[in-house]
Amino acid sequence: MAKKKKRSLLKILGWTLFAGLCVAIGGYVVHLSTLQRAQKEQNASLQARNDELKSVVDQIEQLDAEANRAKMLASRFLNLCRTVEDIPDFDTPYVLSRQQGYEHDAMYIPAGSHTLRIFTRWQPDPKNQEPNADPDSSDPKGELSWDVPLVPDSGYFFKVDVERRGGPVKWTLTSNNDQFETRSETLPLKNYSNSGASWSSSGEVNLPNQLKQFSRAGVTAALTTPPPVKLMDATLRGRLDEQWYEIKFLVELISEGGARVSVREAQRLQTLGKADLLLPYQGNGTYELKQIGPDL
Amino acid sequence: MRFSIRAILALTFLVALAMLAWRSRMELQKAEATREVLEAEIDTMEASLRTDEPELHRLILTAEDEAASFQKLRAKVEQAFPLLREKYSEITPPEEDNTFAMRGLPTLPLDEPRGHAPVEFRFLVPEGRPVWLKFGVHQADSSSSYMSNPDEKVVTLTESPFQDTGPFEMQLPPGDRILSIQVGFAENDELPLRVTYGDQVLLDTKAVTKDISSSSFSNISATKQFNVPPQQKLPWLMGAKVDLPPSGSGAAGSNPSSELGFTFWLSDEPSGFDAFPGK
Repeated sequence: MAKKKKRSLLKILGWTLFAGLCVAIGGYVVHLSTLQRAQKEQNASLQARNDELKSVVDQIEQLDAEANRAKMLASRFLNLCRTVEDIPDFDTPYVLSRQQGYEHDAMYIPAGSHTLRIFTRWQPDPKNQEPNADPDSSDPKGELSWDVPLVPDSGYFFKVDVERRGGPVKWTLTSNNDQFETRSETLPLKNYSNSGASWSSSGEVNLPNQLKQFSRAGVTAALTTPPPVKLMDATLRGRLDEQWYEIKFLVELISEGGARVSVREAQRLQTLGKADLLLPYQGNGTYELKQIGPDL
Repeated sequence: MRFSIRAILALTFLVALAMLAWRSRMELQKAEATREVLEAEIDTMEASLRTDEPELHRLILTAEDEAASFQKLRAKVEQAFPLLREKYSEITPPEEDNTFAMRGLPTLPLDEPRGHAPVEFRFLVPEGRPVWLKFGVHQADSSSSYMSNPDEKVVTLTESPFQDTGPFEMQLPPGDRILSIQVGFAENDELPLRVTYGDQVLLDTKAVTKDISSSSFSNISATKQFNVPPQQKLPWLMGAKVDLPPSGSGAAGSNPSSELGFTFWLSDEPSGFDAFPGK
């Protein structure tokens, strides 16, 4: 009689255990599938956000690529211009310039009020002295600078004229706009024979007074003195009478108004917490920095 | 202990349920991993777009205005270029008989933004003078001796990474036509080269070799028309150097030099090369 009772007790225990396990695992499965459904919903909306952001990022990358292409084409086109008449009315807010060899600089000056500053400096070539050269000799050295107001929305050619076999050193600025009178100046050097030159240009598509130094010092300086755009930086080397000489030409564009930045650069300023330095947006994809008086 | 059918069924049911639970857990983990990846990507993109700062975000969106400025600039260039090209491609038939005339034309990489601008020449080939255009692939060396005497100095290869190595030649028919040489952008282990003369495609080939990088080239500077009277030699036109990776390719021969070159030139007489293969 006891054995039968024991067996049925075991049986009940077994089935209870079975039922319990079923409920436990079943409950767990239901719980998991609820969590999973919630997670999948969240993932779907995250994916949507992800796609939305990606399309904006891709668009901006494409804009960058297209901007670079446009700049490259404009620069190459300017390089093909042989006379100032070849430069069309670009009707663009950008300052375009392309150095063609050391002598020629083809430029397009946009709307606004701009002045071209031409700086020259001549001195005996420090790297190329005659062995018996007297360092205190009274060889001519000096600097000269000219500011030439420009007519906007026009093309210009800046040309340096030197001779290989002795002659004057001259520069000439011509425009394809009749309202601009050709300007030409001669340096006070007689009988200079040019051997060669080196030059650099600081990028060929710029905004007027484009800000390039984003350091704290650079930005602060730009507020009081908007940075001019460097259009040409050439050093000619040759002989003045018997001495080796170098003549530096630096041509910059000084524009009315504050320093300008592109949209990307405006973002940088915003990130640096300097957005209050920007004037309200006027369009054209460029921003202008405020101008502060020098006494501040 | 003997197991009844009921017990075995019950056990099987439990095991199945357990497996279901296990799988559900795996899937949940996977969904959570996906969430983490998505969130990380979103964070990165939002950081670059600065959506946390509405001011900045607005700034970023004004990029469209900037893009419009650049589009306009490009459009102006495309509009002005044909006029400039026409101005600087004029050529006048020489007075002297049997005189060849040519001029380099201004070009822009309008169709090949990452590649080079095509090198183009306008030729006036006279009736009574044979003018042969030649092309050869060769080992590049630093001397530019081929420029003065390509017929002698260019040692052409017959096998190279170029699918059409040549050398090739063609007698130019009399008349006024433009030769266009377009070196493409080196990518995906390929460097394309396409040559047309008037309407005819002379060469449409590519150099195929692993890690081929772009080429550099120089061409005769003929910014103004120049005439070649019958007693003068016809000129070298263009030479290029292609950089191959240091390991070299078997097709270029056992020569360890890893620089390949190709040259185009004109000549008064044929060299017995094959005809250009065309398309």
